[in-house]
Amino acid sequence: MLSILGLLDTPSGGSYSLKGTEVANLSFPERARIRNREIGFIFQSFNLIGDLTVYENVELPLTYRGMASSERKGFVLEALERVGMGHRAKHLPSQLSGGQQQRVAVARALAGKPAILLADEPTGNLDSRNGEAVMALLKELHDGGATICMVTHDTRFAEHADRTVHLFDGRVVEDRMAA
Amino acid sequence: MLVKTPGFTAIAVLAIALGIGASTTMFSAINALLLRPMPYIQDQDRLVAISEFFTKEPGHDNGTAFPDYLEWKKNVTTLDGLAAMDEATFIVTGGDKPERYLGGLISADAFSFMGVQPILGRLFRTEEDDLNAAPVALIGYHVWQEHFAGDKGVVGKTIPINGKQVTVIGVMPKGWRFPEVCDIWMPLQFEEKDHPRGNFFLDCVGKVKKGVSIEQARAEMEAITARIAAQHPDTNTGVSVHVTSYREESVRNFKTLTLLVMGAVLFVHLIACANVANLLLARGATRSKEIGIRLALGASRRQIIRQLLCESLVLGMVGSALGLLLAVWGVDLMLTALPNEVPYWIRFDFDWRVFSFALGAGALSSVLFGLVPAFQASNPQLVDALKEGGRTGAGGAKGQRMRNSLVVAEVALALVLLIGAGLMMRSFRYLQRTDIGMDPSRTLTFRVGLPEAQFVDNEAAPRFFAQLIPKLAALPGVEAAGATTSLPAQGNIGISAFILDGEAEPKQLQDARNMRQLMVTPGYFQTTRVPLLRGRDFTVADTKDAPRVCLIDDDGARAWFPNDDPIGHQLRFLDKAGEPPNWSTIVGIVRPVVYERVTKLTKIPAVYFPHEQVPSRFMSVMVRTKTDPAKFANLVRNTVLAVNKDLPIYRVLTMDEVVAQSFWDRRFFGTLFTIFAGLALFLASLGIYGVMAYSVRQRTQEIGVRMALGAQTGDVLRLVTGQGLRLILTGLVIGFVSAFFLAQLLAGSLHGISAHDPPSFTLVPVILFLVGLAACYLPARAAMRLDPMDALRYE
Repeated sequence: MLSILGLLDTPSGGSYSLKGTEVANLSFPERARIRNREIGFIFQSFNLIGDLTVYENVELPLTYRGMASSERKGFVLEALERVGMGHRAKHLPSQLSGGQQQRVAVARALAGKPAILLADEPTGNLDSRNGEAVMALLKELHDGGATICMVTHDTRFAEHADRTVHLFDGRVVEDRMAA
Repeated sequence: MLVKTPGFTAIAVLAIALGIGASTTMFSAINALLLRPMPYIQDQDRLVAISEFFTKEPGHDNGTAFPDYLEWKKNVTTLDGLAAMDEATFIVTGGDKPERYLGGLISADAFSFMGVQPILGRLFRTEEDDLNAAPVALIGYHVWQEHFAGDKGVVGKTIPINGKQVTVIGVMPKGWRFPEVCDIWMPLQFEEKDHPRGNFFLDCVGKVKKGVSIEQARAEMEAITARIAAQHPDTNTGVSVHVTSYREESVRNFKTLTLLVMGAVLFVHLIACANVANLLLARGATRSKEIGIRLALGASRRQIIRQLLCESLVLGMVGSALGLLLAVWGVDLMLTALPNEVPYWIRFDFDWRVFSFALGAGALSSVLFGLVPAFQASNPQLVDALKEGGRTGAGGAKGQRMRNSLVVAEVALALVLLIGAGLMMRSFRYLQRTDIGMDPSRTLTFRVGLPEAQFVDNEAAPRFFAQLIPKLAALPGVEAAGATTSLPAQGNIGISAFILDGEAEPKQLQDARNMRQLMVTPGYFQTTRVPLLRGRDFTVADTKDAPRVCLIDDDGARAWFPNDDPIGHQLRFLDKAGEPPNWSTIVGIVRPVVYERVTKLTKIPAVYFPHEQVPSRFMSVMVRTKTDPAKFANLVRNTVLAVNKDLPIYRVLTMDEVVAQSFWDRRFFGTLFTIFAGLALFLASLGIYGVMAYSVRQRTQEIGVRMALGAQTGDVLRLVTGQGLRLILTGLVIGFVSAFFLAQLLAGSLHGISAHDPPSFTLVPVILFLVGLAACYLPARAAMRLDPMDALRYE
């Protein structure tokens, strides 16, 4: 479902409008542009690019936007500061812990100031302490105004959400708002 | 494991086979030229080639004067034997039709000290060198089989050779055609009065005594030669002697180019090895899980390396076997490309050296391409490797760096080869375009030799050609006919010393004026379309009784008469000591013609004499036709036989073929270089493609992430091709610098261009860059077509 929401896949039925635009018939370049500007991805396995530094990883979506290097710098540093990784900007992903890598991945998702953050099991590859830290970060972002759509199998983390949609074998079995 | 991955195994074996096949083909040439002993000759490391030379021209061997040879033979103590030889054409009659054979007049003791024995009869006796000895001949195996049908009673038979009755005293063994392609040998039987001092023309061969070095023999020969020069300053001042290994001297013209092509082939082989190493590195990465399991089950790293090296060795050996088969085909192809008859001792057989080379190269290559991948693959991060889809080990950054380095090396090696091939081909094209001063189109040429016994008096030869040439010119479809002692561009021409009227004879031969001397019949200049610039051409009126005349070329006119009109001036030869001076008057000036081989141009002007006034029994006849000249071969042969039924014609070639033969070696080696460079280009582009395709597979997930983050197809294209182009450009820079220095090795074989020829050094890198770009584009296109969903799921 996150793939459909993130315009990586197309639904076999139904319709999906993003910011009032029906996305089903968008071309590949249009989808890429929307992914770049409106959506931020956070993956379970972080998916940082090993050859790039922390800074370059966070900068990546902005380079696809055609933004000037000097302009990008402000966005990148701001995103890294927000997740508390500013001091690790020159490190490679392999030099970071799992929790730190995921915080960088969150920074990358945030950097372009997207309309929505899609998080696919963001704590799935982390131990409980790091998982809690990432959830705290996401909550802080949400409190700051970010819209976050997160998929998780962990009920502890699902309880952080304002709205929880429970899927079972591909069907919605529960849809509730937090009290 | 190799059987389970047939695709990988097939590609690896093919790459190795191509490398081994090419290098074994060239090694068989090296073996034939430089390593394999010359057949039948005993102690051949003691055999030396000997030639006199003018010290002011140390690079040019003159040959040896007969009196100097006799003096050496009498005085030398460091040689076991010394022989002189002069090539000769032998016409054997008495059979169904006359046969012409190339043969040699050779010192009677030559074959004895070389250690070769006849299979029938005996060798020459020393006294058979005497002028009055009965004429005897040794015949080659080929003549024995062809002319005498292998008759064992041939020894003692008398046969007409060059019109003289000669007794056959022996049959030489099969394959013996010393010094190169001779089939009949007769004793030298020269007299000093016919071959005076200063007439350098004999080929000499000697054998140094056991325990004596070539240097010692050279020192003694130099001392004797210096003594001769002191005693005969008029002819021998500034004359010294070269004494070199006979084998070295025999391969002098080809050694450098052969070794250069062998170097080129080794480059191709290295590229093939780099490709296989890349394949093995990639395969090691995909096998990290299997290797992880083996290590987890207790295998030591050494055992894993051994297993992987064994697999490489199997690849190497199978590749060697296939490469040997390719080499058999390659050698056949190479032999068909050789236009000239190959000297008897150059044999491209697959002997133990060639087999050992192929197997050794296969084994060495196995280690070369197998060792690093084996070390890398045997060292995976165990935990990661055992995880589903673990891609550590050789798939990591270290493995990628190694693969990238190999591609850079491949591109660099390929560029060096391609630039080399570019230089050779541009030089070849220059030779092709060389203006030889005459029109070679639609012209048939052949050689006729008139036996001395049949054509005894001085007028016999001119009489024969005076009959033949008009008959040929009158043939239907023939425009013109003429004859000359030397064909243009053939290199079969000597230098003669002469003086002009009003000049004193020089005290020393080395100070004399030099000319290329040609005897031609009327019709020669019309046939060759060499324009007469001034004066008149020869006519039938220029007979032996008419005043002696000659024509000179424009180079001669400028060099010898810078401020004067040459017409009316006279010149005469110097090399007929004791004879009354024969002055010839210059009656015309013609355009210069190249008579040397096109690869060995010199600026020695030519002087033409009427054949009637300066007769020669060996002439090349030229016939200009209205249509394809090759179709006139039978017609002209029958015309010659109609004039004299005992005269065979030989070396029947079109003039275009004569010109092409003039630089056949450059074309041959240039073609070889180009084939190997093409192979290198193919293998290098395959290498680039392989690495980029593998990289795209490795980076599939990364590409998916980039797409998820908004990368457009153009971004992906730039990402993949950018990586490839960085490797290609690095390889090009390294290759360019290497080629800049290595091209110097080719400098001596290039004509009309410099070793740093700008078109070769600019165009070739651009071509390689474009081919490399295409090799990058295919994997890049595959990356652009990746579905981001699939890419993100890819493990």
